[in-house]
Amino acid sequence: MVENHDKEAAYEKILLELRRGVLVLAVLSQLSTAQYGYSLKQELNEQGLDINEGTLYPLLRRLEAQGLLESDWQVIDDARPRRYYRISSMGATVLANLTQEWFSLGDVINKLLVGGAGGTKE
Amino acid sequence: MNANELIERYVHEVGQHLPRKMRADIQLELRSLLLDSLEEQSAGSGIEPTTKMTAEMLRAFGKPETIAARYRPEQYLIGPQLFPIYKLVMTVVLVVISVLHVAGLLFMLLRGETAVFGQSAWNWFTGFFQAAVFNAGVVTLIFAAIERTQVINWATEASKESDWDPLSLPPIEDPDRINRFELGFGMIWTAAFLILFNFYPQWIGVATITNGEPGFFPFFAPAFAVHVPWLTLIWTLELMLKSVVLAQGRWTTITRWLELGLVPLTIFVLNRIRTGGEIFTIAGLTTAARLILAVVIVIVVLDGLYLLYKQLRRRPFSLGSRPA
Repeated sequence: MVENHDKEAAYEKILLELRRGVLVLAVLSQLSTAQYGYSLKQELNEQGLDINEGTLYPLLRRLEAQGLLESDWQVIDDARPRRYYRISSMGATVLANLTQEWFSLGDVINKLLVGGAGGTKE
Repeated sequence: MNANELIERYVHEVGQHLPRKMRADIQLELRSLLLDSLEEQSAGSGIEPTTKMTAEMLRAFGKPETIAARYRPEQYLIGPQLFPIYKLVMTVVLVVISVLHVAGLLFMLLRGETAVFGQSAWNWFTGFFQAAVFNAGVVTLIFAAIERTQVINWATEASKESDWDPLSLPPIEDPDRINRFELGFGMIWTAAFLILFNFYPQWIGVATITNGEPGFFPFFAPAFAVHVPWLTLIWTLELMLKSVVLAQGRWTTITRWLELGLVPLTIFVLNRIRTGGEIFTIAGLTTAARLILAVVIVIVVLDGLYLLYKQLRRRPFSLGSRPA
């Protein structure tokens, strides 16, 4: 029972590491127009990427601290003030490079998983 | 407690775990985001936000400490880059303090301050403990300050990493391989002691001249003679064992276990000397020797346990071995 729990915990950790890098790419890709945290979460959800709010919001702050995003407080349609994030010029450059890297890496990983000797080809 | 109050409590609690300078801004945004989320859930279910609904939302959001940790930049008291240097400095400081205190203790004993030995030993121990803790604290504080202020520029350090040359890596040492010169040198000393204590005990001392008459002042008290057969046994066994190792050119599992077997015998003999009669002709030196022997016995016990641990975990050494 403990062993199963350990395996699950180890798997969760690996999964988290795998998703962590991808989340940055996903977030940058959706911020060419300004969005606030909750609207971004909804948009990512609608496109099939389920992300925990407790993970997404701190990530936005970190990306802003790294200069990849810009933000400001806005009041739109008489709603409460919200912090809107959009991609910075540096973020756009990083996104372009990351996108290229993603496709290149995707090709390699696909080859490895499907065509490798120890792969999962049926 | 209504939904808004629960959110306020949550936001406040997250803020408690954040640095002051970023606290207000994050709290403001977090409150806004949580209210967005709650409104959405309320609209989806068609009912006004309830305390239960809010609690479930916050539970899914995460514990305040966890969320605050995600907002905070990674912080170390002493970071991974600085830690190896910290460890080295700490080791040097503690070794220096230990050496100074042992030297101080010997000096105290040689001056004959043994009348109130128990009290002196206690003072020595507390002094040593205080000095070690104080200096370890100072070293830690200095390194924590370096970490905090980033006095050392890690970007510069990182550029140095590119200059690193893999060809400068030291060769892997085979722990079982022997240094013949070192082993032989040790054996010569053991043999010398064996011969000296058994055949020329009268040479262990200092030649003196009193009123023009040559004399001799022996180091060891006559009572020490009862220990010589035991010492002879240890030294003989040690010489036999090392001769085998020298002939084989390396330590083997059997010779390692035999080496370990000598440890209990050594402890027994050392303790026999410590608790036996006078060791040296000078009374003060015997007291000092008893204390030093007690320390040596502790070291031999610890070393024996370490050897045993290593022996039990041991795997055959191979340069080509790969982890499973």
